Amino acid sequence: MGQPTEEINFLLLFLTGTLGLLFLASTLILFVFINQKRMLSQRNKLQALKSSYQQEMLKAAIDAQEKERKRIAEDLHDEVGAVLSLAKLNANRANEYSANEEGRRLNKDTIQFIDDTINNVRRISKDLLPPTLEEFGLIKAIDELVAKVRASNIVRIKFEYRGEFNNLYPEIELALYRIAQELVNNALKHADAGEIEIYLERNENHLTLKVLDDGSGFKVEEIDRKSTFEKGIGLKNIHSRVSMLDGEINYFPNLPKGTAATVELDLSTRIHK
Amino acid sequence: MNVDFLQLILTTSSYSAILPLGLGIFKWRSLSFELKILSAYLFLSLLTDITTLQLANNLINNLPLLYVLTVLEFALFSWVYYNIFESFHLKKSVIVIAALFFLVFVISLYQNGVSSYATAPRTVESIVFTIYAIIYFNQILKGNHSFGLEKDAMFWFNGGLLVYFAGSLLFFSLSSFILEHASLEMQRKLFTTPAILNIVQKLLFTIAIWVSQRKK
Repeated sequence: MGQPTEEINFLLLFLTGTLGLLFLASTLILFVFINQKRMLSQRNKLQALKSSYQQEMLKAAIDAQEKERKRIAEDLHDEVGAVLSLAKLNANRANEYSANEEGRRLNKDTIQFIDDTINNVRRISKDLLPPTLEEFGLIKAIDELVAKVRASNIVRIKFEYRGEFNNLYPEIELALYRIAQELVNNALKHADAGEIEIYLERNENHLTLKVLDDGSGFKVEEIDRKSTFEKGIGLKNIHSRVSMLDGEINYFPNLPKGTAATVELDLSTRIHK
Repeated sequence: MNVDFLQLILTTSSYSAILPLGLGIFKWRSLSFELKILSAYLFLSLLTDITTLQLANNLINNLPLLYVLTVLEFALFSWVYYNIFESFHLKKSVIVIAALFFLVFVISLYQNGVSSYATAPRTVESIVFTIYAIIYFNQILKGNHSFGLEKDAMFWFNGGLLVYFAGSLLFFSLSSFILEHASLEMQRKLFTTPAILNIVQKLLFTIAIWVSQRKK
Protein backbone atom coordinates (compact mmCIF):
# COMPACT_ATOMS: atom_id res chain seq x y z
CA MET A 1 0.00 0.00 0.00
CA GLY A 2 2.80 2.37 -0.96
CA GLN A 3 0.96 4.48 -3.55
CA PRO A 4 -1.24 7.41 -2.40
CA THR A 5 -4.10 6.17 -4.68
CA GLU A 6 -3.99 2.75 -3.01
CA GLU A 7 -4.04 4.42 0.41
CA ILE A 8 -7.06 6.54 -0.53
CA ASN A 9 -8.85 3.47 -1.89
CA PHE A 10 -8.07 1.60 1.33
CA LEU A 11 -9.25 4.54 3.42
CA LEU A 12 -12.52 4.72 1.47
CA LEU A 13 -13.11 0.98 1.83
CA PHE A 14 -12.26 1.13 5.52
CA LEU A 15 -14.58 4.05 6.14
CA THR A 16 -17.41 2.42 4.17
CA GLY A 17 -17.06 -0.79 6.17
CA THR A 18 -16.83 1.01 9.50
CA LEU A 19 -19.78 3.27 8.73
CA GLY A 20 -21.77 0.23 7.56
CA LEU A 21 -21.13 -1.56 10.86
CA LEU A 22 -21.95 1.60 12.80
CA PHE A 23 -25.17 2.00 10.85
CA LEU A 24 -26.15 -1.58 11.73
CA ALA A 25 -25.32 -1.05 15.41
CA SER A 26 -27.26 2.23 15.59
CA THR A 27 -30.25 0.72 13.79
CA LEU A 28 -30.28 -2.17 16.25
CA ILE A 29 -30.17 0.19 19.26
CA LEU A 30 -32.94 2.33 17.78
CA PHE A 31 -35.02 -0.76 16.97
CA VAL A 32 -34.72 -2.07 20.54
CA PHE A 33 -35.54 1.36 21.97
CA ILE A 34 -38.63 1.95 19.81
CA ASN A 35 -39.90 -1.63 20.12
CA GLN A 36 -39.56 -1.66 23.91
CA LYS A 37 -41.39 1.70 24.08
CA ARG A 38 -44.21 0.25 21.99
CA MET A 39 -44.35 -2.91 24.13
CA LEU A 40 -44.39 -0.85 27.32
CA SER A 41 -47.18 1.34 25.98
CA GLN A 42 -49.21 -1.75 24.96
CA ARG A 43 -48.63 -3.34 28.38
CA ASN A 44 -49.75 -0.14 30.12
CA LYS A 45 -52.88 0.03 27.97
CA LEU A 46 -53.66 -3.61 28.78
CA GLN A 47 -53.08 -2.95 32.47
CA ALA A 48 -55.40 0.07 32.36
CA LEU A 49 -58.01 -2.01 30.55
CA LYS A 50 -57.75 -4.79 33.13
CA SER A 51 -57.96 -2.33 35.99
CA SER A 52 -60.96 -0.59 34.43
CA TYR A 53 -62.64 -3.99 33.88
CA GLN A 54 -62.00 -4.97 37.51
CA GLN A 55 -63.36 -1.60 38.63
CA GLU A 56 -66.50 -2.15 36.57
CA MET A 57 -66.93 -5.66 37.99
CA LEU A 58 -66.54 -4.31 41.50
CA LYS A 59 -69.05 -1.54 40.83
CA ALA A 60 -71.49 -4.04 39.35
CA ALA A 61 -71.13 -6.31 42.40
CA ILE A 62 -71.70 -3.44 44.83
CA ASP A 63 -74.64 -2.13 42.77
CA ALA A 64 -76.18 -5.62 42.79
CA GLN A 65 -75.66 -5.83 46.55
CA GLU A 66 -77.35 -2.45 47.05
CA LYS A 67 -80.26 -3.39 44.77
CA GLU A 68 -80.75 -6.62 46.71
CA ARG A 69 -80.68 -4.71 50.01
CA LYS A 70 -83.25 -2.29 48.65
CA ARG A 71 -85.50 -5.14 47.50
CA ILE A 72 -85.28 -6.90 50.89
CA ALA A 73 -85.86 -3.60 52.74
CA GLU A 74 -88.94 -2.83 50.63
CA ASP A 75 -90.29 -6.39 50.97
CA LEU A 76 -89.80 -6.27 54.73
CA HIS A 77 -91.53 -2.91 54.98
CA ASP A 78 -94.36 -3.50 52.50
CA GLU A 79 -95.14 -7.18 52.99
CA VAL A 80 -93.91 -8.36 56.40
CA GLY A 81 -94.71 -4.96 57.96
CA ALA A 82 -98.20 -4.90 56.46
CA VAL A 83 -99.00 -8.46 57.61
CA LEU A 84 -97.72 -7.68 61.10
CA SER A 85 -99.88 -4.55 61.29
CA LEU A 86 -102.86 -6.64 60.25
CA ALA A 87 -101.98 -9.25 62.89
CA LYS A 88 -101.81 -6.50 65.52
CA LEU A 89 -105.21 -5.20 64.41
CA ASN A 90 -106.69 -8.70 64.70
CA ALA A 91 -105.12 -9.26 68.09
CA ASN A 92 -106.65 -5.97 69.28
CA ARG A 93 -110.05 -7.04 68.03
CA ALA A 94 -109.64 -10.51 69.59
CA ASN A 95 -109.07 -8.73 72.88
CA GLU A 96 -112.62 -7.35 72.73
CA TYR A 97 -114.06 -10.86 72.28
CA SER A 98 -112.02 -12.47 75.00
CA ALA A 99 -114.20 -13.58 77.87
CA ASN A 100 -111.72 -14.24 80.63
CA GLU A 101 -108.80 -12.42 82.24
CA GLU A 102 -106.14 -15.00 81.21
CA GLY A 103 -107.18 -14.70 77.54
CA ARG A 104 -106.89 -10.88 77.65
CA ARG A 105 -103.46 -11.11 79.30
CA LEU A 106 -102.24 -13.50 76.59
CA ASN A 107 -103.62 -11.17 73.90
CA LYS A 108 -101.83 -8.18 75.47
CA ASP A 109 -98.55 -10.11 75.44
CA THR A 110 -99.14 -11.09 71.80
CA ILE A 111 -99.76 -7.44 70.85
CA GLN A 112 -96.51 -6.50 72.63
CA PHE A 113 -94.60 -9.23 70.69
CA ILE A 114 -96.09 -7.96 67.44
CA ASP A 115 -95.14 -4.36 68.32
CA ASP A 116 -91.57 -5.44 69.09
CA THR A 117 -91.39 -7.36 65.80
CA ILE A 118 -92.78 -4.39 63.82
CA ASN A 119 -90.11 -2.17 65.40
CA ASN A 120 -87.41 -4.72 64.62
CA VAL A 121 -88.54 -5.06 61.00
CA ARG A 122 -88.51 -1.25 60.65
CA ARG A 123 -85.02 -1.08 62.15
CA ILE A 124 -83.66 -3.84 59.89
CA SER A 125 -85.34 -2.25 56.89
CA LYS A 126 -83.81 1.14 57.72
CA ASP A 127 -80.39 -0.42 58.26
CA LEU A 128 -80.59 -2.09 54.88
CA LEU A 129 -81.52 1.12 53.11
CA PRO A 130 -81.53 4.30 55.17
CA PRO A 131 -84.31 6.45 53.67
CA THR A 132 -82.70 9.56 55.21
CA LEU A 133 -79.74 9.14 52.88
CA GLU A 134 -81.88 9.26 49.78
CA GLU A 135 -84.15 12.00 51.08
CA PHE A 136 -81.85 14.31 53.08
CA GLY A 137 -78.29 13.36 52.09
CA LEU A 138 -75.11 12.09 53.70
CA ILE A 139 -74.85 14.44 56.70
CA LYS A 140 -78.37 13.74 57.96
CA ALA A 141 -77.89 9.99 57.41
CA ILE A 142 -74.68 9.93 59.46
CA ASP A 143 -76.40 12.13 62.08
CA GLU A 144 -79.14 9.50 62.30
CA LEU A 145 -76.58 6.69 62.57
CA VAL A 146 -74.81 8.57 65.37
CA ALA A 147 -78.11 9.25 67.19
CA LYS A 148 -79.00 5.56 67.01
CA VAL A 149 -75.60 4.49 68.44
CA ARG A 150 -75.81 7.18 71.10
CA ALA A 151 -79.30 6.01 72.13
CA SER A 152 -77.89 2.56 72.88
CA ASN A 153 -75.84 4.12 75.73
CA ILE A 154 -73.00 1.69 75.06
CA VAL A 155 -70.53 4.25 73.74
CA ARG A 156 -69.92 8.00 73.52
CA ILE A 157 -70.02 9.10 69.89
CA LYS A 158 -69.59 12.41 68.12
CA PHE A 159 -69.77 13.55 64.53
CA GLU A 160 -68.29 16.72 63.04
CA TYR A 161 -68.17 17.86 59.44
CA ARG A 162 -66.77 20.74 57.46
CA GLY A 163 -67.48 21.68 53.86
CA GLU A 164 -70.25 21.33 51.31
CA PHE A 165 -71.79 17.85 50.87
CA ASN A 166 -75.06 18.61 49.10
CA ASN A 167 -73.78 18.12 45.58
CA LEU A 168 -72.22 14.68 45.99
CA TYR A 169 -73.09 11.98 43.53
CA PRO A 170 -75.50 9.41 45.13
CA GLU A 171 -73.07 6.49 44.69
CA ILE A 172 -70.40 8.42 46.61
CA GLU A 173 -72.88 9.32 49.36
CA LEU A 174 -73.99 5.71 49.71
CA ALA A 175 -70.39 4.38 49.69
CA LEU A 176 -69.27 6.91 52.32
CA TYR A 177 -72.28 6.12 54.49
CA ARG A 178 -71.63 2.38 54.26
CA ILE A 179 -67.92 2.87 55.05
CA ALA A 180 -68.73 5.01 58.10
CA GLN A 181 -71.38 2.50 59.19
CA GLU A 182 -68.95 -0.42 58.84
CA LEU A 183 -66.13 1.37 60.68
CA VAL A 184 -68.48 2.27 63.56
CA ASN A 185 -69.72 -1.34 63.63
CA ASN A 186 -66.14 -2.59 63.78
CA ALA A 187 -65.34 -0.25 66.67
CA LEU A 188 -68.41 -1.47 68.55
CA LYS A 189 -68.19 -5.18 67.77
CA HIS A 190 -64.48 -5.95 67.70
CA ALA A 191 -62.63 -3.11 69.39
CA ASP A 192 -64.82 -2.74 72.47
CA ALA A 193 -64.51 1.04 72.16
CA GLY A 194 -65.77 3.51 74.78
CA GLU A 195 -65.64 6.52 72.50
CA ILE A 196 -66.01 6.97 68.72
CA GLU A 197 -65.40 10.12 66.69
CA ILE A 198 -66.40 10.65 63.06
CA TYR A 199 -64.97 13.54 61.03
CA LEU A 200 -65.99 14.39 57.50
CA GLU A 201 -64.19 17.14 55.65
CA ARG A 202 -64.39 18.41 52.12
CA ASN A 203 -61.90 20.79 50.65
CA GLU A 204 -62.83 21.55 47.02
CA ASN A 205 -62.35 18.18 45.36
CA HIS A 206 -60.63 16.46 48.23
CA LEU A 207 -62.80 14.54 50.68
CA THR A 208 -61.64 12.94 53.93
CA LEU A 209 -63.58 10.66 56.23
CA LYS A 210 -61.98 9.81 59.59
CA VAL A 211 -63.30 7.36 62.14
CA LEU A 212 -61.39 7.21 65.42
CA ASP A 213 -61.98 4.97 68.41
CA ASP A 214 -60.30 4.27 71.72
CA GLY A 215 -60.79 0.51 71.51
CA SER A 216 -58.35 -2.36 71.67
CA GLY A 217 -56.96 -1.47 68.22
CA PHE A 218 -55.15 -3.76 65.83
CA LYS A 219 -51.78 -4.00 64.21
CA VAL A 220 -51.87 -1.88 61.06
CA GLU A 221 -49.27 -4.12 59.35
CA GLU A 222 -51.55 -7.11 59.94
CA ILE A 223 -54.35 -5.47 57.96
CA ASP A 224 -52.01 -4.55 55.10
CA ARG A 225 -50.46 -8.02 55.10
CA LYS A 226 -53.75 -9.91 55.08
CA SER A 227 -54.98 -11.06 51.67
CA THR A 228 -58.47 -10.21 50.47
CA PHE A 229 -59.67 -13.65 51.52
CA GLU A 230 -58.25 -13.33 55.03
CA LYS A 231 -59.94 -10.00 55.74
CA GLY A 232 -63.37 -10.12 57.37
CA ILE A 233 -66.50 -9.32 55.37
CA GLY A 234 -66.69 -5.85 56.96
CA LEU A 235 -63.13 -4.90 56.03
CA LYS A 236 -63.55 -6.43 52.57
CA ASN A 237 -66.66 -4.30 52.02
CA ILE A 238 -64.85 -1.15 53.12
CA HIS A 239 -61.91 -1.86 50.83
CA SER A 240 -64.17 -2.70 47.87
CA ARG A 241 -66.11 0.53 48.23
CA VAL A 242 -62.96 2.64 48.63
CA SER A 243 -61.46 0.94 45.60
CA MET A 244 -64.65 1.53 43.59
CA LEU A 245 -64.28 5.25 44.28
CA ASP A 246 -60.55 5.21 43.35
CA GLY A 247 -59.84 6.31 46.88
CA GLU A 248 -57.35 5.33 49.54
CA ILE A 249 -57.85 3.95 53.03
CA ASN A 250 -55.21 3.97 55.73
CA TYR A 251 -55.20 2.77 59.30
CA PHE A 252 -53.15 4.39 62.03
CA PRO A 253 -52.83 3.76 65.75
CA ASN A 254 -54.97 6.34 67.59
CA LEU A 255 -52.63 7.14 70.47
CA PRO A 256 -52.71 6.45 73.38
CA LYS A 257 -55.01 3.61 72.35
CA GLY A 258 -57.39 2.69 69.58
CA THR A 259 -57.49 2.94 65.83
CA ALA A 260 -57.87 5.76 63.34
CA ALA A 261 -59.14 4.90 59.87
CA THR A 262 -58.81 7.55 57.19
CA VAL A 263 -60.51 7.42 53.81
CA GLU A 264 -59.39 9.93 51.20
CA LEU A 265 -61.15 10.58 47.93
CA ASP A 266 -60.28 12.74 44.96
CA LEU A 267 -63.56 14.03 43.58
CA SER A 268 -62.07 15.88 40.63
CA THR A 269 -62.62 12.91 38.30
CA ARG A 270 -66.15 12.35 39.60
CA ILE A 271 -69.28 14.02 38.32
CA HIS A 272 -71.29 15.86 40.95
CA LYS A 273 -75.05 16.04 41.19
CA MET B 1 -5.33 29.22 12.77
CA ASN B 2 -3.51 25.93 12.40
CA VAL B 3 -5.29 23.30 14.51
CA ASP B 4 -4.24 19.65 14.36
CA PHE B 5 -7.71 18.09 14.47
CA LEU B 6 -6.40 14.52 14.50
CA GLN B 7 -4.25 15.26 17.55
CA LEU B 8 -7.21 17.01 19.19
CA ILE B 9 -9.43 13.95 18.69
CA LEU B 10 -6.74 11.57 19.99
CA THR B 11 -6.14 13.75 23.07
CA THR B 12 -9.88 14.17 23.76
CA SER B 13 -10.34 10.42 23.44
CA SER B 14 -7.55 9.77 25.96
CA TYR B 15 -9.20 12.03 28.54
CA SER B 16 -12.82 11.08 27.70
CA ALA B 17 -13.10 8.72 30.67
CA ILE B 18 -12.83 11.68 33.08
CA LEU B 19 -16.51 12.66 32.71
CA PRO B 20 -18.14 9.25 33.42
CA LEU B 21 -15.51 8.42 36.04
CA GLY B 22 -16.10 11.73 37.87
CA LEU B 23 -19.84 11.12 37.82
CA GLY B 24 -19.28 7.54 38.96
CA ILE B 25 -17.25 8.72 41.96
CA PHE B 26 -19.89 11.38 42.75
CA LYS B 27 -22.73 8.81 42.65
CA TRP B 28 -20.64 5.90 43.98
CA ARG B 29 -22.88 5.05 46.93
CA SER B 30 -26.00 4.86 44.78
CA LEU B 31 -24.39 2.87 41.94
CA SER B 32 -25.39 -0.71 41.25
CA PHE B 33 -22.70 -3.39 41.44
CA GLU B 34 -22.39 -3.51 37.62
CA LEU B 35 -21.86 0.24 37.42
CA LYS B 36 -19.20 0.03 40.14
CA ILE B 37 -17.38 -2.46 37.90
CA LEU B 38 -17.81 -0.02 35.01
CA SER B 39 -16.36 2.79 37.13
CA ALA B 40 -13.36 0.61 38.01
CA TYR B 41 -12.88 -0.01 34.27
CA LEU B 42 -13.13 3.74 33.58
CA PHE B 43 -10.39 4.39 36.13
CA LEU B 44 -8.09 1.81 34.49
CA SER B 45 -9.01 3.09 31.03
CA LEU B 46 -8.18 6.69 31.95
CA LEU B 47 -4.87 5.63 33.47
CA THR B 48 -3.78 3.57 30.43
CA ASP B 49 -5.13 6.09 27.86
CA ILE B 50 -3.19 8.97 29.38
CA THR B 51 -0.03 6.86 29.71
CA THR B 52 -0.44 5.60 26.14
CA LEU B 53 -0.80 9.17 24.85
CA GLN B 54 2.27 10.36 26.76
CA LEU B 55 4.33 7.42 25.47
CA ALA B 56 3.18 8.06 21.87
CA ASN B 57 4.01 11.78 22.17
CA ASN B 58 7.51 10.78 23.33
CA LEU B 59 7.78 8.25 20.47
CA ILE B 60 7.93 5.27 22.83
CA ASN B 61 6.12 2.06 21.86
CA ASN B 62 2.84 2.03 23.82
CA LEU B 63 1.43 -1.22 22.42
CA PRO B 64 2.31 -3.38 25.50
CA LEU B 65 -0.12 -1.23 27.50
CA LEU B 66 -2.87 -2.11 25.05
CA TYR B 67 -2.44 -5.79 25.95
CA VAL B 68 -2.86 -4.97 29.62
CA LEU B 69 -5.97 -2.86 28.98
CA THR B 70 -7.47 -5.49 26.65
CA VAL B 71 -7.25 -8.33 29.16
CA LEU B 72 -8.53 -6.18 32.04
CA GLU B 73 -11.30 -4.73 29.87
CA PHE B 74 -12.41 -8.20 28.79
CA ALA B 75 -12.43 -9.49 32.37
CA LEU B 76 -14.38 -6.51 33.76
CA PHE B 77 -16.98 -6.36 30.98
CA SER B 78 -17.44 -10.16 31.18
CA TRP B 79 -18.07 -9.75 34.90
CA VAL B 80 -20.78 -7.17 34.11
CA TYR B 81 -22.41 -9.50 31.58
CA TYR B 82 -22.20 -12.41 34.03
CA ASN B 83 -24.30 -10.28 36.37
CA ILE B 84 -26.82 -8.87 33.90
CA PHE B 85 -27.55 -12.01 31.89
CA GLU B 86 -30.60 -13.74 33.33
CA SER B 87 -30.13 -17.18 31.79
CA PHE B 88 -28.00 -19.66 33.70
CA HIS B 89 -26.57 -21.03 30.43
CA LEU B 90 -25.50 -17.56 29.31
CA LYS B 91 -23.79 -16.96 32.64
CA LYS B 92 -21.89 -20.23 32.21
CA SER B 93 -21.05 -19.28 28.61
CA VAL B 94 -19.57 -15.97 29.75
CA ILE B 95 -17.10 -17.86 31.98
CA VAL B 96 -16.18 -20.36 29.24
CA ILE B 97 -15.73 -17.60 26.63
CA ALA B 98 -13.57 -15.60 29.06
CA ALA B 99 -11.33 -18.66 29.50
CA LEU B 100 -11.12 -19.15 25.71
CA PHE B 101 -10.33 -15.48 25.24
CA PHE B 102 -7.50 -15.76 27.74
CA LEU B 103 -6.13 -18.65 25.64
CA VAL B 104 -6.26 -16.53 22.45
CA PHE B 105 -4.60 -13.70 24.38
CA VAL B 106 -1.69 -15.89 25.55
CA ILE B 107 -1.19 -17.46 22.10
CA SER B 108 -1.23 -14.01 20.45
CA LEU B 109 1.25 -12.68 23.01
CA TYR B 110 3.49 -15.72 22.49
CA GLN B 111 3.37 -15.53 18.69
CA ASN B 112 3.60 -11.77 18.10
CA GLY B 113 5.34 -10.49 21.19
CA VAL B 114 4.30 -7.67 23.50
CA SER B 115 5.50 -4.91 21.15
CA SER B 116 3.04 -5.76 18.37
CA TYR B 117 -0.58 -4.62 18.07
CA ALA B 118 -3.01 -6.94 19.92
CA THR B 119 -4.89 -7.64 16.69
CA ALA B 120 -6.31 -11.09 17.48
CA PRO B 121 -7.38 -10.35 21.09
CA ARG B 122 -8.95 -6.99 20.10
CA THR B 123 -10.82 -8.58 17.17
CA VAL B 124 -12.09 -11.47 19.29
CA GLU B 125 -13.05 -9.01 22.04
CA SER B 126 -15.00 -6.87 19.55
CA ILE B 127 -16.91 -9.85 18.19
CA VAL B 128 -17.68 -11.23 21.67
CA PHE B 129 -18.97 -7.94 23.11
CA THR B 130 -20.96 -7.12 19.96
CA ILE B 131 -22.71 -10.49 20.35
CA TYR B 132 -23.18 -9.99 24.12
CA ALA B 133 -24.78 -6.58 23.51
CA ILE B 134 -27.15 -8.09 20.92
CA ILE B 135 -28.04 -10.90 23.35
CA TYR B 136 -28.73 -8.34 26.08
CA PHE B 137 -31.00 -6.34 23.76
CA ASN B 138 -32.85 -9.55 22.95
CA GLN B 139 -33.20 -10.18 26.69
CA ILE B 140 -34.73 -6.70 27.05
CA LEU B 141 -37.27 -7.32 24.29
CA LYS B 142 -38.25 -10.71 25.71
CA GLY B 143 -38.29 -9.60 29.33
CA ASN B 144 -40.70 -7.64 31.47
CA HIS B 145 -39.08 -4.22 31.62
CA SER B 146 -41.56 -2.11 33.55
CA PHE B 147 -39.89 1.23 32.73
CA GLY B 148 -38.59 3.03 29.65
CA LEU B 149 -35.12 2.18 28.37
CA GLU B 150 -34.03 5.80 28.64
CA LYS B 151 -33.91 5.17 32.41
CA ASP B 152 -32.11 1.84 32.12
CA ALA B 153 -28.39 2.24 32.84
CA MET B 154 -27.57 -1.14 31.28
CA PHE B 155 -29.25 -0.17 28.01
CA TRP B 156 -26.89 2.80 27.66
CA PHE B 157 -23.92 0.68 28.76
CA ASN B 158 -24.72 -1.88 26.07
CA GLY B 159 -25.30 0.87 23.53
CA GLY B 160 -21.83 2.21 24.31
CA LEU B 161 -20.20 -1.20 23.94
CA LEU B 162 -22.07 -2.02 20.72
CA VAL B 163 -21.22 1.28 19.03
CA TYR B 164 -17.55 1.09 20.05
CA PHE B 165 -16.85 -2.57 19.32
CA ALA B 166 -19.00 -2.89 16.16
CA GLY B 167 -17.55 0.35 14.79
CA SER B 168 -13.95 -0.59 15.63
CA LEU B 169 -14.19 -4.21 14.48
CA LEU B 170 -12.77 -3.47 11.04
CA PHE B 171 -9.97 -1.34 12.48
CA PHE B 172 -8.97 -3.98 15.05
CA SER B 173 -9.01 -6.82 12.54
CA LEU B 174 -6.90 -4.80 10.08
CA SER B 175 -4.66 -3.17 12.69
CA SER B 176 -1.56 -5.30 11.99
CA PHE B 177 -1.97 -4.72 8.27
CA ILE B 178 -2.38 -0.97 8.80
CA LEU B 179 0.72 -0.71 11.03
CA GLU B 180 2.73 -2.72 8.53
CA HIS B 181 1.62 -1.19 5.24
CA ALA B 182 0.13 2.26 5.76
CA SER B 183 2.14 5.47 5.94
CA LEU B 184 2.46 7.20 9.32
CA GLU B 185 0.03 9.94 8.23
CA MET B 186 -2.53 7.33 7.14
CA GLN B 187 -2.03 5.45 10.42
CA ARG B 188 -2.83 8.63 12.36
CA LYS B 189 -5.96 9.17 10.29
CA LEU B 190 -7.13 5.60 10.78
CA PHE B 191 -6.43 5.69 14.51
CA THR B 192 -8.95 8.52 14.86
CA THR B 193 -11.78 6.05 14.06
CA PRO B 194 -11.56 4.08 17.34
CA ALA B 195 -10.71 7.37 19.10
CA ILE B 196 -13.98 9.00 17.96
CA LEU B 197 -15.91 5.85 18.85
CA ASN B 198 -14.19 5.79 22.23
CA ILE B 199 -15.46 9.33 22.89
CA VAL B 200 -19.00 8.27 21.89
CA GLN B 201 -18.74 5.18 24.11
CA LYS B 202 -17.65 7.24 27.12
CA LEU B 203 -20.52 9.68 26.54
CA LEU B 204 -22.98 6.76 26.53
CA PHE B 205 -21.34 5.41 29.71
CA THR B 206 -21.83 8.87 31.25
CA ILE B 207 -25.56 8.66 30.45
CA ALA B 208 -25.64 5.12 31.94
CA ILE B 209 -24.21 6.38 35.23
CA TRP B 210 -26.34 9.54 35.12
CA VAL B 211 -29.66 7.67 34.80
CA SER B 212 -28.72 4.90 37.21
CA GLN B 213 -30.79 4.32 40.32
CA ARG B 214 -30.10 1.68 42.90
CA LYS B 215 -32.62 -1.17 42.73
CA LYS B 216 -34.68 -1.46 45.92
